[in-house]
Order: sequence, then C-alpha cells, then structure tokens
Amino acid sequence: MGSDDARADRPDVAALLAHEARTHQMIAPLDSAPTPARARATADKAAASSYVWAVAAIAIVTAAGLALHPVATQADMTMLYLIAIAIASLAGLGPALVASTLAVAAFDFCFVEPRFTFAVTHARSLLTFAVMFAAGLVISTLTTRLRGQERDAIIRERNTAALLAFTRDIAAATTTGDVAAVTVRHLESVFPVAASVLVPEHGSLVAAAGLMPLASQEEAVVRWAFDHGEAAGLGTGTLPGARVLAVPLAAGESTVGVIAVQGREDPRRRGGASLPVLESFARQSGLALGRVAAADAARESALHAHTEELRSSLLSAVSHDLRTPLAVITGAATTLRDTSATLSPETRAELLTSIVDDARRLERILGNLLQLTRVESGLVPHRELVPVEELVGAALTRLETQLGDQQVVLAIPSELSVNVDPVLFEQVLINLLENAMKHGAPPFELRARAEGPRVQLEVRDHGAGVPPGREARLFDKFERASTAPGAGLGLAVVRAIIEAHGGTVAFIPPPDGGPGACVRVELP
Amino acid sequence: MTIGSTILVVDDDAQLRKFLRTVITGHGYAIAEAGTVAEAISTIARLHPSAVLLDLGLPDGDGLAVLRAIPAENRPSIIVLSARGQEGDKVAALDAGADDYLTKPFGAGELLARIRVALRHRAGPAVDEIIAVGAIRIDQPRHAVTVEGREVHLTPIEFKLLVELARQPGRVLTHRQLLVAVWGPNAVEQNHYLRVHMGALRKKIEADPARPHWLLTEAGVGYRFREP
Repeated sequence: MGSDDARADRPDVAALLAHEARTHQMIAPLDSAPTPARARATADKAAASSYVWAVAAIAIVTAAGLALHPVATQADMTMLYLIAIAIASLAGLGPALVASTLAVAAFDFCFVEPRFTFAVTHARSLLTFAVMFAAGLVISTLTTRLRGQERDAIIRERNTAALLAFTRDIAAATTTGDVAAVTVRHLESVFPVAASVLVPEHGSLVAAAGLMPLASQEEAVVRWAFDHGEAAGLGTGTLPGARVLAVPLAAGESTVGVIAVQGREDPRRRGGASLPVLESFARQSGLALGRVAAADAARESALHAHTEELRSSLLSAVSHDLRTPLAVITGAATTLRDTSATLSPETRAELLTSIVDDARRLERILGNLLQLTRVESGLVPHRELVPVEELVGAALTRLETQLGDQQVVLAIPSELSVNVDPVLFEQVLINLLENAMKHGAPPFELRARAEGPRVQLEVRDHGAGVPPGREARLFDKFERASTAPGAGLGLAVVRAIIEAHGGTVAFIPPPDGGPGACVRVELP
Repeated sequence: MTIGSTILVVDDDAQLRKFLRTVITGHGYAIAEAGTVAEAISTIARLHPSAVLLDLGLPDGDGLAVLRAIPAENRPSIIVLSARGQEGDKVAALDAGADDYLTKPFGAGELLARIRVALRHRAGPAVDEIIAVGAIRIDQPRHAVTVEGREVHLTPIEFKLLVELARQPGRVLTHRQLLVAVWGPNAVEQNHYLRVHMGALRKKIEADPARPHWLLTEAGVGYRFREP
C-alpha cells in the first residue's frame, strides 16, 4: 500500500500549503500572524535585536561608569549593572543571561583593581561577581515569568473575547451550513489554522463549511473523533502523530459533527489555552447544530401536518364536490331510463339540462384540480407577449353561453400587451369572471392598464362583496365566499398561476367606493 | 352531399366509441372503429374514410403516428380528440397535418359541426375569387373587403390574414400555419407579430375587438374564423 499512499499524499500536502497560504492572507488573525516563512524571519530578527539590546544596555552602563569613574563607587556600578540586566531581561531569558555574563566581565575589566585587566586581586571581588550574576539570574527569571503570565492573560482575554463574539454570531445561525460557516470563520480568525466542520450525511462525514483536503489517515482521525465523541489526532491521546486535530461536536447525548483543524503550528500550544478554547468552540457549535436540527425537525413535522391536513381537505372536497354533481347526473339519467314513459316532456327536458349542467360543473372542478396540481408541481409558464385584448376576447368567447346577456364592461387599451402563458392566463380570466358570476352580481367590469413596467388587471362585480377579513383566505384551496356550489378551487388556481408568473393577486376595495368585490392582478 | 361519408373513430375507450357511434350514425354517416394505431392505419388503407376522429393517447402509441403513416395526398380529414391543457400536443398534431381538434369533453353539436367543417374542407380551401362569409365579403382580385356592406381598408398583410382564415371558416389555423401562409417560411417564431396584426384586423372587422365575433382566438393554438 505504501507507494500508492505516498503518491496520494503528495498533492494533499501541496493543497494544504496552498490553503494555509490563502487562509493567512485572507483572514487577519488577532495576533496578525504572518506567513510561516516570514514569521520565522521576523522571530529571528526579533531575537537578534534583543541580544543587541542586551549588549547595548551593558555598553551604555559601562560607558557611563567610566565617565563618572572617580565619583561612582564599585557599589554604585553593581547597582547600575543590575538595572541594565533587568532591562535586558525584558527581552527574554537568553538576552538576560548574556547581559549578566557581559555585566560581570565588564565590571571586572573596567572597575575592579587592577583595572583594564581580567585579573582579580581580592577574593572579595569574586564574591561580588557571584552575587551580581545570581541577582541578574533571579531578576531575569522573575521578569520572564511575569512577561509569560502577562502574555497568557492577554491570550486568555483574547480567547474569551473571541469566544464571546463566536457565541453571539452562532446564536444568529439558522441552518447547519450557517453554523458550520460561522464556526470555521471564527476558528480561522483566532488560530493560524485551516478549519473545517464536518457533519454526517448518508452515513459519511461531509464538509458543511471550510474546505480541507483530508488524506485517508486524517479522515480516519475525524471518523474516530465522531464515532467516539472524543478529541483525536495531533497532540491528543489518540493518533497523536496525525497532522489534523479533530474535536467532536456534541448536542446533548449525540455527536452531530466534527471540527477538524490543521495548520502550521500545533494549535494546542498557542498560549497553552487553545485546546480548551477549541473545545469551547466545539461545545457552542454543537449546541447550535442541535438547536438547528431541532428547529428543522419542528418545521418538517409542521409541514407534514400541513400536507396531511391538505390531503384530508382534498379528500373531503373530492368526496363532496365531485359526488354532488355525479349524484345529480346519476339520478337524472336513471330517472330518464327507468320512468321515461310517465314523465312529462318538461320534466324530461329539465332532467336532461341538469345532466348537462352538472357534467360541466364536474369538468370545471376536475379542470381546476388538474391545473392546480400542474402549476403547483412546478409547471413553467410558456410565456409570450400577448395583447390583453386578445386574452380577454378568448376568455369571453369561452364564457359566451354562461354569461348569456349579463353585461361585462371592458376598459382595455388595445395596445397593452403582457408577457404571459396565453393558455394559463385565459384560465385566470375565466376563473375570475366565473367567480364574479357565481358570488357577485352584474354588471361585471374588466379593466387593464399599465402602471410603469407593471400591468394591472381588475375584475369587479356589483354583488354583496367579500366578507370582511376573509379577503386573503379566499385564495386558499377549498375556501368559498358564499354557499354557491363549487369546490373553492377557482381562485386558488388564479393565485397559483399568477404567482408562477411572478405576479400578485388580491381583493381590493372597489376603487369607486361602490358595492361589490374587486380582484386586482398585478404582473411584472 | 356528405351524408353517407364514412367516419373512422380511433379511440380505445369503448364507452366513448358507443357515444360517438350513436351520434354519428344517427346523423346519416357510416362509421368504422379502431382502438389502436395499427388498426387505425390498416382501416384507413382499407376503407378510405372521409374523416377520422383520432384520440392522441392510444395503447400502442401516439395518435400522431397515424398521421405520419398516411401519405398527405390520400389522407382523410383528421380531427384530433384531446384534453384541455394539452395545447402543445394539439399544435403538434395540427402542424403535422391534422385538420382540427376537439377538446374532451365535447357535446354532440360541437362534434357534428367539426365533422361538417372537416368534410367541407376536404376538397381544399375555397379558391373562389369572391369569398362571402356571414356579413363579410372579400373580393380577392380587387383587394376589397366589406363588412355589412361597409367598405373597410386593410393593409396587404391584414388582407392576406383575413383571406387565409375566411376561406376555411370554422377551421382552426395554428400560429405557424398563418405565419407561413402570410409571411413565408422564415417567420415561424414571430407569434407576437401575428398577434399585433390580428389585433389591427379585428379593430377593422369586428364591432368590438375585445369581444370578437368572427376572428376567434384559440388560446395557445391559433385562430379560427367563426362558421356562420
């Protein structure tokens, strides 16, 4: 397996390096961590300058001592050198040691008799050297520790602030993708790492945010962390040699995902506080994922309940609204067949008329039901630029017999065109006019006009109007304005078609303030 | 004149065939029946019916296969039976050579009217120099049109459009058929163009262009000149 794996690994390394470079360029971490190479150079330069600083401090004190020689005593010089060592120790333990050594040497050379030699005549002077060196050592150790604590405090504070900011942002996330993206963004801004949030999908773990090429060994680390609910990889007890550190995301009892980080530095060692911080991030992220999952489940069950409700109302509508006309047809037809001889010609004509009428009614209901299903299942309107006048003409031709001599007042500019599916839009006009005939009273009015880039179309009747408060609900399925027969589908079809065209439809108060109902369709 | 013509009914539903048989034989036509594409093709070859009522969804294939299998020169008049919402199928059938369509469900009156129109146009559209339909009179050599005796002035395109529709009254013509007839074969995608000219023509011919009496729109399909 070895050679294959090695080959498979190589592009990953390249990709990782490229990713790291990108990450650090795009995101300015809080300590403005530079790129790896530059960081090393900067650190070297910093180290060199702190040694120069140590040497300079001793040189200045020595020069000052020489200038003040007759006045300053050996005891004064010892104190001055200790100050120089203390200053140098601010730059670190190394420079402090160098400064201490240099201080003892310079003191011996310049101020201890015989002067300007390293020879020592009095044994007492050796004791002075030892005390001076020891004092320098103590000062520098204490200073370095203080500096370390100060740095730790800064890092702690920074991590706390980062966690606070993270907690605030994650609270606003509403989807798994959001949670993952926020987690990755914050992690990458706090640590010089590439981060990825992986969530289970169809049995495998996939990145919900943060792209990180994972070799098979790293994938195994991530998988282990997910399966066992424990951190694994780089620097942990499990698979510590891996390049990746995986921290599980827990929501309650279950593990809902994994944070994987990998980068130039061991993230645990950043200020010694990073693994706990990483785990704090993981805790918040896990809770947020749990919250999102719970919300999704609630939404799903609500949707399911809604679908169920719709299905049962559809069933009741089908059983009632389809059976009623069927009952009429069956009743009239069997009467004609069985008792034809005893019926008066008028009764026969009446029965025949009701058969025809109810067959038409049945067709209308079925047509609307089919149309609604078709539009709601994502039918794309076949749009063409059509004169409104032609659409209205086609609808009125089809309604000719139903309208009879009921008056329809038209106000349609002959040059006005709309970009619609002519077949669907004819249905819209027919349903609106049928609705007006069924629930309203003549004269009916049909007006169209251009309103900027939009086209407004109004169908108005002079009936009793819409029951107040029900204007919006009348466009729902199986809602009826009055007790007139029908399945309550006509306006639902209208709304579905208009919305498929990107338009809106609503009842508005009749513009002239008169009685009756007015539906306004607005098309982009 | 057309009494005695044979009408072939191609539909796989026995009940619908029974209804059609009653209506068709009751009005003096002879009837033949077929339930599949294959049966339809062999029956047409054997009986040479004058008209065919063709359902598009047959158990052994698309009704359009029947259209394709019969050479145009000895093809009977074909009336396609289809449901609403299948405008695309209707247009495809008409453009493939069907004469007309009927949307299910249809009444007996509508059916007989369509059969009558189809049989009348079987001999081809009127070639008379003077076309007189209802209140409209078209004098082709003179390019003159009168509506109820009143002369109207049409542009050459409006005139061609009106002639194309009026010489086959009662028969639907698809957008494509009209575009090819009036503008030539390169204009087939210019539906809006056609609609604008149709609007202008209606303004001159119709008493109320929004409530056309003569030039009827078949949404998504084309236009039909009302049979007087």
